[in-house]
Amino acid sequence: MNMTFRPDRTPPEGIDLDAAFAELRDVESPPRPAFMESLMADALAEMPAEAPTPSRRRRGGARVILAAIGGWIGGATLAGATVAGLTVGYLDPAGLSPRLSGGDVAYATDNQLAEPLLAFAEEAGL
Amino acid sequence: MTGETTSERERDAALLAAYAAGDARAARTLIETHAPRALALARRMLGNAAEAEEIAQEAMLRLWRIAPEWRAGEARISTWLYRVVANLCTDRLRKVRTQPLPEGHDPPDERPGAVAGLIEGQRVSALEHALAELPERQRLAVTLRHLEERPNPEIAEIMGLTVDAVESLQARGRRRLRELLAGAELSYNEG
Repeated sequence: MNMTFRPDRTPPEGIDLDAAFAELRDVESPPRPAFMESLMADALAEMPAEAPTPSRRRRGGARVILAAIGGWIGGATLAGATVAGLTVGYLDPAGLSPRLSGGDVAYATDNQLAEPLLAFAEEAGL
Repeated sequence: MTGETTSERERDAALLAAYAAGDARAARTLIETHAPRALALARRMLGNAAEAEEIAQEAMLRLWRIAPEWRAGEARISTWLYRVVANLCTDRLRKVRTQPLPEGHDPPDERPGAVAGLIEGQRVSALEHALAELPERQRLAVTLRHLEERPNPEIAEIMGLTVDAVESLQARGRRRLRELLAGAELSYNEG
């Protein structure tokens, strides 16, 4: 947009309008103080909420999970149990073989569910 | 674009950003700078002080609500506010008008205001009454130019018109004002 100022093109004639406008500008009454204060009250009511402070910052997902399992101690215990479980799962549990194959009382019962397991252990040479 | 205009735009944008960040003093500065002008334009357009305050208050409310999204460098706050006030006044005037008037329609001056103003020697009062007689868009263009002292390119932006269209409205408005004031003066001299 062309922002060059162009003066009024109306030819001056008759009543001096510019002088009348100048007088009108001079007698413009200021806003009522109560009105200005109502505008200020509006501004405060509409003011956006303050930015969150660091202490109120939202906690990350890892912190939430750690808190749920009992903090650092609970987390370390759970991690240790997990590692132990994985170790047992991957390594050959030879130490358990005699108990499974030696007719241990615990498996020489009428428990029907234990029999297939015992048979599998014998075939596997455990 | 003058340096003063750029400076005003940057200053106002910074104040609005400060308000959005929770600075109440910035809000007060913006109110003291812009609310009187918004109110004055509404007064001229509506001729009613109470309605003018409602319009100015609504315009300022819209400014506060748009503050977080205000993009510095796009528009001046004063221009934006004038446009909002002008639109709100137009809506208000259309609601009270029973039938739409064609552009350029000049209703007869049936009020004694213009004459009474000159009889009492009050040129200011006569001009106020004559201004109120102008069609809406002529009144807006003349008021923004001669009372708010805005440059025509900014008035064109406020009104959504070309600069030539604004100048045409102003020329017709000034011609009509002269007619109204001359008629009042003639009546006074003959009386």
